[in-house]
Order: sequence, then C-alpha cells, then structure tokens
Amino acid sequence: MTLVLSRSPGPQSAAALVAAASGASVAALGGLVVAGWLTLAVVLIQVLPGFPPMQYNTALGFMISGAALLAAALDLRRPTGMLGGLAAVIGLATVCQYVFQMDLGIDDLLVETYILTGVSNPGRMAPNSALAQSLIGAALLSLSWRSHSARWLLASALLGAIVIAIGTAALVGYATGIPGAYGWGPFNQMAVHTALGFLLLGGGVVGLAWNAAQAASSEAPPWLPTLAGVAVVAVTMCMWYALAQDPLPEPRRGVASRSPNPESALPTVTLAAGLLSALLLGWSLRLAQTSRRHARSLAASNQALTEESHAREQAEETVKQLAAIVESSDDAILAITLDGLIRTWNPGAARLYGYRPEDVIGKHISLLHARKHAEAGIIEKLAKGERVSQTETVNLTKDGREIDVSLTISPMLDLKGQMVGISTIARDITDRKLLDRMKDEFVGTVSHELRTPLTAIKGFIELVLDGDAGPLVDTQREFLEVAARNSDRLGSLINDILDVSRIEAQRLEIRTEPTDLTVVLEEVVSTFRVMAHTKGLSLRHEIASLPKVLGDGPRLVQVFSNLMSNAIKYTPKGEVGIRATETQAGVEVVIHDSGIGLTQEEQGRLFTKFFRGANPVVAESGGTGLGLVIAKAIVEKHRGTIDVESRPGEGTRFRVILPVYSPSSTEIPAQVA
Amino acid sequence: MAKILVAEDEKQIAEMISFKLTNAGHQVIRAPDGEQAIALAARERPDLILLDVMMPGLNGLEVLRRLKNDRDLRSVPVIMVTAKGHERDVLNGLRGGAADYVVKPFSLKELSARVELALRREPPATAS
Repeated sequence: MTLVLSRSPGPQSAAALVAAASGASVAALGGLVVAGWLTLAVVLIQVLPGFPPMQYNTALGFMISGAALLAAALDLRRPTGMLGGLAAVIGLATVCQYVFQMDLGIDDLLVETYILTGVSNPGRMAPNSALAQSLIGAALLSLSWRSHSARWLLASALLGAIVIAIGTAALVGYATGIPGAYGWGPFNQMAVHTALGFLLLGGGVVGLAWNAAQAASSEAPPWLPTLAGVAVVAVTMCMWYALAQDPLPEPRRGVASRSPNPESALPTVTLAAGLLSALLLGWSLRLAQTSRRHARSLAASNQALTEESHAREQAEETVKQLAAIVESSDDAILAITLDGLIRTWNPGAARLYGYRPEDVIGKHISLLHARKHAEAGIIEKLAKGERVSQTETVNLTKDGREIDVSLTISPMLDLKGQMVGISTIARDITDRKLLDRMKDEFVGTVSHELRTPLTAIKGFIELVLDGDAGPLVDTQREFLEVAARNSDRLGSLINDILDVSRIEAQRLEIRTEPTDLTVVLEEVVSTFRVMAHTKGLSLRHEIASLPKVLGDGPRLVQVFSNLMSNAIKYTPKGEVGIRATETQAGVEVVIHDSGIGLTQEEQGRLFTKFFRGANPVVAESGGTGLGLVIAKAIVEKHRGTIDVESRPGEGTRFRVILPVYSPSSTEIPAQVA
Repeated sequence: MAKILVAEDEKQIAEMISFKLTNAGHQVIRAPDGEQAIALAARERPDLILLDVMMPGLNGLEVLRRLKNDRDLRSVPVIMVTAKGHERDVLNGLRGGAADYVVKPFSLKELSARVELALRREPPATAS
C-alpha cells in the first residue's frame, strides 16, 4: 500500500491532507523568511524583536523539507526522497560544523547575516534546528523507501516524533521563558517559528507513517506505544537539559547561563517524571491496543460462532426436510454398505417389500433379489462414479411375491469423494409391466383376429383369379390383382405392427443358435431372384463361405428380406446385390442397389417409425415404414450393427455386421429389460 | 385324387380351401374342431390332413399328438396351418411328426403345391 491512493496523485485520507497542508505551510514559511532575509523584513525573520532569528539556511531547509512532505503526501516517492535527502544533507553538514568545530562555508553562502540576536556563529543554523533538519530529512527519505515495511515506517515515525519533541521543547521554552529549551549551549538558538515549522514537519511525517501502517493492517500501528514513549522521552530530555542549564525559570532572554545549579532537584524531578510518564504512556497505550485487539478477535470469533451455529441450524433444517421427503416417499429408498448390508429402510421400502426396518437393517441386500447375480456389475459401475439409472429388475417381497421394480442406484460419497455406500430408489412398476403385457396381448389378439378374415379375402380373390370360379375378363382380372396386392400389403402391415409393438414393449424375443448365414442368405436370394428379374434388374450375389453366427434364423431371414425387398422396390433400373464376407468386426453383409438413394436428412430418420422417403417411387411402392425399425431391433438383439450409406440418384448401401459365433460364448445374455 | 381332411374352425377359410382342393380333383371332408377331426380321421382314413393350430377345444398341436399316437393314423401326413408369429409352435409340431406347415395368410397356390408335395412323398394310406 502507498501513503495515499496510487491511482491519481492527491491526498486521500485526512492524515495525507493535513500532511500536505503542513508541508505546503512549512515550505511557504521558509519562502517567507527567505524573502524576509532578502528584503530586510525583520519581522519575518525574528517574529518579535529580541527573539533569535530564523537563519537563512533554516528557511531554505524548510522550503526543501516542506516540499518533500508535500510530495510524500501526494505519494510522489522520488521527489520526496530527493528533497528529503537534500534537507538531511544541509542539516547534517551544519551538525558536523558544530561537532567538529569547523566552517564548511555554507552558513553565509547565499546571504550576509545581519541579525545577530542570540547568535554565536552568524548565519549558521542553530544546532537543535540542524539536528531536527537532519532528522526530518532522514524521516522523509525513509518514508520514500520503496517498500513500506513496518520497520521503515517505524523509523520515519520515530524520527518525526523526535523532531516534534525538539520543536515542542523549544516552544515550551519560549512560552515559559527557559532559553535552554530553544538554545543549546552557547550556540545559536532556534527561532520560534522554526520550532513551529519543525512541529508541523514532524507531525506531518508521523501522520503519513501512521496512515501507511494503518492502510497495511487496518488498525493503529503496533509501534504506537514506542512512538509516544520516545516522543515524551525526547521532550523530557530537552526540558531536563534546559532546566539543568537554567534551573530558575527567570524571565530573561539572551545567552543562557552556563553554570548549571547542581543543587536544584527540579531537573532531576522533571527527568524522572518525564521518563516515568513516557513509560506509563507507552505501557497504557500498549495495554489499550492489546485489549482492543482482544476485543476485536473476541468479536470476530463471536461472529464466526454465530455464523457456524446458524449454518448448523440450516443444515439441521435441510436434513430434517430431506428426512421428511424420504419418509413420505412412495418409492422405497434404502442405503446399503459397500458390502451390500442394508443400513436404512424408509416406510416406502416397508410398504413395497413388506419388511419392517428391524427385519432387514444389517441384512444383505440379496434378500430382495429374485434372481441371482441380478445386480452384478452395478457396484463396479458405481465405483467408477457412474449413476445407474432406471434399471429394471425383479425383486422379492417378504411373502415371496415377485415384483417388477425400476431401480435408480447411486454411489454415496463422503466429503473426500470416496464411495462409502450405495443408495437405491426402488419404484414398483408391476402395474406398468402388467399394462405392457396386456397391451402386447391385445395387439397379438387383434392381429390374429385381423389375419383370419384377411386370409379369406386373399384366398377367395386368388380363387377367382386362378379361374377356379370361372373365366375372367381382363378388367376383372386387373381389378382383382389390385385387391390382391392390397391384401398382401395389409398382411405385412399387420405383421410389422405386431413386431413393432413387441419391440416397444421390449418383448421382442430372439432364439439364437449357431446359424449358417450362407443358408439364410441363399434363401433370401432365391426368394427375391424372381422379383428382381420381373423388374428387369440384375441380382448379383457374392456369398463367401462364412463362419457361423449366433442367430435366430427366421428373424435374420426377415431382416435381409426387408433390406432386399427395399433395394428392389427403390431401384427402377440397374442392379441390386448382396455380398457377405468375414471381417474383423464379424460377418459383414452388404446389400446395395443402384436406386433412387436417400438424402442426408432421410438417412437420419430412416430407422424411425413410419418414416417414408419423399421420392415418388417410395409413395408408389406399398410400404409401411416399419420394416427398417424392426430390422434394426432384430440386428441389435443379435448384438450386431446396421448402418446405411447413400447418395440421392446413385444408390443405397446397407451394411449389417453380426458377431461371429464362438463355442465359448454360449448364449447372448438376456438384456436387462 | 386323394381324400383330404381339412380341420379348420373358420368356416369361410375351410370353404375356400375345399373349393381349391376340390377343383384340383381331390375329395375334401371338413371338421370344425379338434375332436371331430380325430373322429373323422379315424372313420374316413384320409390321405392327408390339413390341421389348423388355433382351434377351440383341442388345438391343432394336441390333435397332432393324438394322431401320431394312434397306430392306424400315424402314417397319415399332416400339414399344419398356423398364424404368422406362431411358427415356432409349428416347428415344434414338425418335430412331433407334421409333414409341413403353411402360415396364414397363405397363398392358395402355395397351399396346393405343399399338398401335392406331401401326397407324392407319402403313399396314400388308404391305398391298401
């Protein structure tokens, strides 16, 4: 953090504002006094006649350090450092002149000193002013340091505090008439407005350091007690020195007496009292800070506690609501361990299975399984984090009744995501299953009932057409042929509807045995050869010797007949063909034609119920739009695949792949319904 | 010319088959259910039996079982007539001794062809 905001230069906080004002005032004061020296305006230099003057260099120093403080308040680091360094150099040089009793020629460098009130070295900055000047320069330099670490801020603040102390001591000296407080030894004395200036500079620096520390930690800097202690000690030292120099505060001016009165207890008392109060002040501030911190952390932990208890209440409320849902659910909801032991059992489960919770909790879940290994593989799936949704199976109730249930099985994870159990929601679908069976039976009955009259219609038409009922004229023959074709169409429609209804009820059953596809395909080819030739199409077939597949012969005939009949129906001229080969994927049967083809859009919808192509050729042919749906379902029941490739106007290519039979794979496992 | 027993509960279908077979020069006798089929078969000793699977009372498969258990009737060839979707039962029936089967709705031409085939394969039992 910076002293003030870093986005745009300008004071942000009150401290920065005050510091900026102080810096500006001090710089202005320095400027005024410099002007005073140049224009002989004694009032500006001395304030009151008889008072010590503010030396030209001091005024110059004020201009510099005032500007530095202003820069610091505006967060202009580089100018702060440079100006602060310059101020420190001026102060230090002057201090060196005093300490090493030499003259660097800087005192009268710019102006000839003409006021000599309380002056030992004409033109030279008073020693206390020089010291304060060095310190304030150093403090500003330290403030400009790149990182506002606590240490650098403390250094700035301490230096600033000492400067305040020096200024305060001098002001107290003026107020109480103790020259020792503003004039050290026999040397030049600090002017009254110099003291004021240092007070402002010191205050500004301390304020800025405080501000920065507060910005970093949002509370009073921890070094506050030290700072206060040092400030009080510094004032005390100054006063002690002044009193020791000049024990009796007589209202007199001029050079202080150089014979301190050792008899007087006053300086010692002052010193002791000052040090003691510094100690007390520092200590009490520390206490206050500590207790405030404690109070704050207490408030924070109180807040945390309140939040936690609120969260716990909410969690409890949620748990209660969830429990209510589980309790009131019609579905059986249970939790089991990874070993399959039942852990929870809701009233829905009690209703569905007939067991009370105390009957089953701790028992193994296989208690409910009507068939062995019904749930095999589910735990492995769950371990991979998958949800097993809507598995249908058969469960066993307490009284041995088999019920159809739909299961939703999910892993139960702990906070680390480790699977610790399994939750199962079981819904009774016996009614739905019953409905499915009834629908299936209904469709079966209806289609049988439709078939009997259809057989009669077809048969009698045939009798008439065959001439069994006497000779026919051509128109009669033609019309009866239309009737015959439509009765054929009605017959296949009934068959297809029956199959589709089985597929939809997931009751399409296939009975598989090792089957020679060559035989199946030869049968299909021989059936369709005449149809192809009648239409003027050539029928090519390449059927290699093929390994056996595990299949349902009549159903496979149905599939390939459907594909073959489509190929012939939708090919006005050219050829149709069937080719069977063994590939890596299994036995591949390709049925192709040079017919009307399918658009991309048609290919996408090809395997949906009652879909029929838009080509007029399709409309002319009698189709139901169910054949491919059935073919796909049958192929998939064989664990095979069927796909299509086509281009409008060029032809269509259906590919069926069936897995090869291997004696180890005994039977296609019944798929979960 | 052969004697053919048509066991079929649907009157019109029975009529239709009779008409076709009679035109083809055969003698046709008709039974409307399973019991009468067995009785007629025993009495008339047909050369061939056309047996519908779905009949009230004794169904075709049961009739077939009884015929095949009858020493005198065992050799009479039987063609089963079944509805589409029930072929599987008939295939079982073939193992039980049926000579052939046709699926409803069938073509009369096909039926005639199968009848002739069965008659040629099996010398008429009444020829004795």
